[in-house]
Amino acid sequence: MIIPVRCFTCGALIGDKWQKFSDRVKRGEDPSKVLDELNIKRYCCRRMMLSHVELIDEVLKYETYG
Amino acid sequence: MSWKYSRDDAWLLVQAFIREHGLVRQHLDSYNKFVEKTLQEVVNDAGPVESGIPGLVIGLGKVYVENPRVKEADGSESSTLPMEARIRNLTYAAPIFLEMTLIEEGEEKDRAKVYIGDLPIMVKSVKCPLSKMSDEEQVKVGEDPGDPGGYFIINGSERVLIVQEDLAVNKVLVDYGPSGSSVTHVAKVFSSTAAYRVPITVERTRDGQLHVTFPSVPTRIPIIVMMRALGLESDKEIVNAITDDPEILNELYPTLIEQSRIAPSVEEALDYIGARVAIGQPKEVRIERAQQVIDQYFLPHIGLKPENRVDKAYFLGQMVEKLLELALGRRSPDDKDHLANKRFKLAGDLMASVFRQAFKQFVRDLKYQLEKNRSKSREVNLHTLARADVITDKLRNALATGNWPGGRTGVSQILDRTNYLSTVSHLRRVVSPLSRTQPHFEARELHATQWGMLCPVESPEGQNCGLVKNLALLATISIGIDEKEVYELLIHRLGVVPIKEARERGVKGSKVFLNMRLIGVHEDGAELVKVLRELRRQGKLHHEVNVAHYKNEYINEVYINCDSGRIRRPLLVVENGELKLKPLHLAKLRSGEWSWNDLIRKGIVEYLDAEEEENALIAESIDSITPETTHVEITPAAILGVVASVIPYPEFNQSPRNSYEAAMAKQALGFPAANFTHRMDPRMHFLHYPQKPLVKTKIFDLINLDDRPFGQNVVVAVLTGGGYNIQDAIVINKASIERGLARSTFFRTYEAVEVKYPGGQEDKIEVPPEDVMGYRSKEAYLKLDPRDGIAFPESEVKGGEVIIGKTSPPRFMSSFFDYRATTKRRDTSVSIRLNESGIVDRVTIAEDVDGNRLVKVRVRDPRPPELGDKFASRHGQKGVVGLILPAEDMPFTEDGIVPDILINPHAIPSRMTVGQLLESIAGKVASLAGISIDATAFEGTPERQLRNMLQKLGFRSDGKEVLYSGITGERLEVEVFIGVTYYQKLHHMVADKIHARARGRVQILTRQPTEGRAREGGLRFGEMEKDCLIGHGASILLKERLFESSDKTPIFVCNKCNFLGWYDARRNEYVCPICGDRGELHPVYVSYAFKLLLQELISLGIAPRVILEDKVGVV
Amino acid sequence: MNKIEVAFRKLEENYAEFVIEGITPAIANAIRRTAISDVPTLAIDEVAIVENSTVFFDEIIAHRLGLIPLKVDTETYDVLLECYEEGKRDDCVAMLTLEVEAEKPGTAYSGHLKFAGFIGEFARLASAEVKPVSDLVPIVKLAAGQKLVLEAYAKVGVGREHAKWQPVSIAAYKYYPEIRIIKRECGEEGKKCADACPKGILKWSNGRLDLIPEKVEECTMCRACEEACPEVIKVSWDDSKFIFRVEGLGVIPVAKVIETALKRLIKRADSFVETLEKSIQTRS
Repeated sequence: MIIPVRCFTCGALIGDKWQKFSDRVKRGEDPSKVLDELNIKRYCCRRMMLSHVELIDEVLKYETYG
Repeated sequence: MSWKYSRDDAWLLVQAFIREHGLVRQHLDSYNKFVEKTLQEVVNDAGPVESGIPGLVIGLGKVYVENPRVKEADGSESSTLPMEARIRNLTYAAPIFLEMTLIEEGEEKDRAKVYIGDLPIMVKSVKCPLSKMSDEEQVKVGEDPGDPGGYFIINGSERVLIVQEDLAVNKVLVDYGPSGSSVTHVAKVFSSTAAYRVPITVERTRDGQLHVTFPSVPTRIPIIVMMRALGLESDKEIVNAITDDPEILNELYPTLIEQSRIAPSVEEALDYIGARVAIGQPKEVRIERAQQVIDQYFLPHIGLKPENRVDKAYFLGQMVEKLLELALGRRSPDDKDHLANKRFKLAGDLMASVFRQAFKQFVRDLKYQLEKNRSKSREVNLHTLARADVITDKLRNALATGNWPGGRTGVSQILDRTNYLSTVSHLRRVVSPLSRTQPHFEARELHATQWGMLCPVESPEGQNCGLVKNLALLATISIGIDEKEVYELLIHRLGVVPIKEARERGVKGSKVFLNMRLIGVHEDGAELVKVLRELRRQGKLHHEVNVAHYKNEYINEVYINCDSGRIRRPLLVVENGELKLKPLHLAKLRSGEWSWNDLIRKGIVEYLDAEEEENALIAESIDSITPETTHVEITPAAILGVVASVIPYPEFNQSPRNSYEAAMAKQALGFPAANFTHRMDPRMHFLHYPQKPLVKTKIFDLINLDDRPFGQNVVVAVLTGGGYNIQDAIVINKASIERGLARSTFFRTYEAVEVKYPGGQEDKIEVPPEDVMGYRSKEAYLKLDPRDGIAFPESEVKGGEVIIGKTSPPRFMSSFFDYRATTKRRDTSVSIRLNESGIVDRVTIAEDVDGNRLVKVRVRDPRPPELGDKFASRHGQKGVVGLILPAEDMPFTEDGIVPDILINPHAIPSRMTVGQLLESIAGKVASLAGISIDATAFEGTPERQLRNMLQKLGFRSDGKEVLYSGITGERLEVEVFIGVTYYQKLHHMVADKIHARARGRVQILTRQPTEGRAREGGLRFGEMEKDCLIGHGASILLKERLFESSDKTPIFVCNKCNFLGWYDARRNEYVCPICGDRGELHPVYVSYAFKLLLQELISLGIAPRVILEDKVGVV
Repeated sequence: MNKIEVAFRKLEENYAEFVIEGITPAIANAIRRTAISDVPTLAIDEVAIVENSTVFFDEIIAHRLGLIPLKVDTETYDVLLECYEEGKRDDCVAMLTLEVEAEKPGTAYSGHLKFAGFIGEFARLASAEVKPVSDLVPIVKLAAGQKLVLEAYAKVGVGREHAKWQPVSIAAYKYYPEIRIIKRECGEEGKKCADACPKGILKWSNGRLDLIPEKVEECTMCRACEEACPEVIKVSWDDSKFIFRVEGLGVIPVAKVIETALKRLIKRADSFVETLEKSIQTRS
């Protein structure tokens, strides 16, 4: 739904970095490089970013219904 | 030429296919055809309705289907959309109007467009407004644009019509007779029109005689007699209808000579049949009945009129010839499991058969109403004559229950909304009507012709194995085109000589079959086939026409099919050893100038059915093209179905593991639909933080699965977990759970309707007053809002607590005893299920079709993972949580990574799920390199490449890492395999299953403990457990379990008459009904079931006696 | 007993890397475990939802709030620690409020949390300030017109109880690697060996295999090189010397985490001694 606050595995704070990550990747930057620059080094934290789907945006569209 | 058809090109094509077809095109197309064409045909077939009054006729004209609408209880109508139907428990249906004309003595008296009933509308079909809306508009009306549609909404619940597999109708299939009988060979055909289905069999007995059997004639009829009855007077004519081959004729002679004697003329032949259907009638009646029978019940698919008789004779001849060819060893018996001999019934066909039946009844009723009206000499009004309920109810009932005409059950099922994948898979399911209890081994086995048509992986285990199947990714099912056009083309333009003429003139060549019926002979079958294929590739012949040419020493036949229900799949056309597809075409496709349809029209890609595939030499890739090759696979991965396509590296797994995963993926929690916050499904799950897999297959991009994920990427170490992951259990990190891993919410919706009964009585949704019958404790109603009797949103509720308070009027005074009680209103409140709890999440109040107030309350229950919850990877590796281990006790790497899950190493070797190991490495590479790894079947990123990448990223290439024990702090002796794997949380959760009981409820009838969790039941002490105690000699424990703690009850037995007596508490004395007060009654403790048995026997007039003896010995 | 030596390779506010020499794995592990599970911190533990018209359920929002790391200065931390150790965690509760109303679609961030003072009898906390480590953690996204109003109560707790109270994301160590090249002049075999190392610690040129000294500490002792060429190289380790890595969440500086961990460890040992003595006394 929304980016988890922490990495499930190690507990590092990642929630605050999602917006930056997603914006930069959308602009066409290499996700790996962005992650490095955001200081997300371990594969546990990296997968949190890489595999996240911001589904809340889709859900929010329905808030005007009904 | 440097261009070479690549994987990317292949997936571009698949994407074009999916974009145009979606995933449920079969249902939508079929339904669309039903609404746009078949509906009218059904009406036309019913023809003008002739009443019993001469000269009074109702003409039936055009059918119109309007837009879906609701008819409110007050009679007003308004258009509706699926979301409203779901929430208000409505049926998503549209009114059907029919143009009717009242004709009296040939004169038109009245003409009107009459409402004849409601037709359930398939979501996203032509008649559904959603099909014309953009994504944004769909969102605005509460609909998920990603929803595939293809289902119906009946009384608020979503129902799918499952594709039904069937043996091809109207196709002659030959086989050997059953061993041990006198029948040596059989030719069988299910002659089937839209309305009914008649099996017709031609049998050859050991003496070489041929007979035909069909229902409605009780005995078998000699073949020659039947032919003659069909109007072929001379033997010459009969022979012409059968064959022109001297050898076959030779085989036929004994029959011809023998049977010709029975009925030398047409009249005698008819009489022969007539004598068997109209026994003891005068001759004229017999002949008339015989004619009626052969017109109506013999090969009805050819026609029902007398002029069709000759065609029927020729069809029978076709059967005989095929049978004799089998007898002569010229052909082998037909393979019933060959896909060419199968047809698939889709939603449209199924709807048509119900509608046909309903319409027939409607017409019957119409006729009756007309006659009734007329006989009362009232003014006839077409609107009042038509009773629309007949059609509405019939259609709705069939869809709501799944009971189809013809006795089939389970045709409509409630759509599976566990996750997106399960929904799509459900809409692509195919079932075979074969009985699930019988073995049918061949039918269950994978048949070579299923390649690319049906998924080889996705089928359930157990009794439905191989009978329930799923469409492969690119498979489509033909809708059917008009046979007449093709016939005209063949006869008039392509030089096919009609069969009768050919036999008379002695034209030799290939026999030409159109939709499995012999229509003629063509001199050069190979040429005909070539021309037809050429025409099809030029777009001059419809792409649904498939041709096959069978030729060997004896057989030379051309099959042309254009009927509905054949599974077909697209293939790349190869001409002269070269692909017809060129880079230019791909470029046009890419730019959007062309669509998939253009490729079909231009003959670059064509659809083949199982029959035409027999003629094709299909190369698996362009590298294996030879000069003989006719087609190339678009991509080998497309042999899999949608669910199986989700498995990464499936070709590295042991095959049954893929099947297990295909079954489990449908139970994974995820994100079922974007509009789930508004949905009020009876049960629903949703995973809080679903993730898209890092190791993907191509299907994820094709159908946007990334936006409907069904699991999470988890750091998995393959390591023993202190014994807590033995036998497929998993050890899970407590901290991960606390950070949100695998957290989900379960929703259950409760419903109550405030019914208004006829006679002014009505239910009331309120906090029930204390004096109602069946009032629970005051505490049970605590959560209700005193103003409306519905629980407050966000209030916490526990099992047994009332969430919708409701009272109902007293029950109808039924018995004398209840008299006093029945004057009080009853409590009919809805309460939370026992063993469940949650938080009231959402309340909707609506009005159902009958104008009653409908209250739905959705309760949510947060479900963080707990001990015993079920998880599975995408490789059929399932397990339950065996231990939730604190993070500090978990092993760690030097980077500080603590695995989320520990799976046992023993899970790997015997199951051979190498795919999981590859996925794990790939997952690690993907997260480190910031990419997603492709693991599509047969073309995934190779192991070598993954290893190299991992090595470059600073890890051991085999995915192992050094781990330190979290408990002792020491380095683990051996390096441990650790990586990122996609895990699914399955919907089997402990919270739904946990159950225990000490004392509790008993059944009323037997007084034994109830069964099942929902009824607070006891745990069964079964037969084997009983044997165990016997084996141990623990007889007193056995008695305690089976008797004392079960249904122990005292009975009173009279020692004089040995019958049951009783204790009369009012007079404080023991009574024997036989001996009266002289009875000698003794209390005896028996099982209540035994007491029941005695009384049942007594009620049957049997006198069971209980002989009493003194208790001897101890206890 | 050996002398314990510590050398810091890196020390930042939220990251520390150091080498400890002269302890056993059990001691090293005790430090690690204590850092993860027994160093008290502040985290939101109770949430009173006043209004929530967002798409997220109350419990999801509460869960997310709990996971937002809260920063306190060291002085306040010492007071909180004392409060916790005295068993008065309900007397040092930090109250935060959040009120977000979306006029147009927006997001409620951790930055919207407003510190509203401490509740409880621990008077010395009056001047303290509690705020999220990062202001950019999204709590929930709101559609136009949606509103989220709540009061959150942060309490002191330890990681053993719930992961939200862990002061560090990473606390881990490894043994100190000892790599011995048996055969320096090893020809082609050496190239295989050097290539096998995923960390690139080995250098091979002209048939000679060498270690890159400044990279030796990067060795994970994965023994990939040993597997590639067992005759040439031998990897072992010193299990009395550890390379520690600690990554903090910004709640308190990592140095403070390690210090507190050690102190709590010692305190525990002391209390054990005390109990032991007492029980021996009562027995005799």
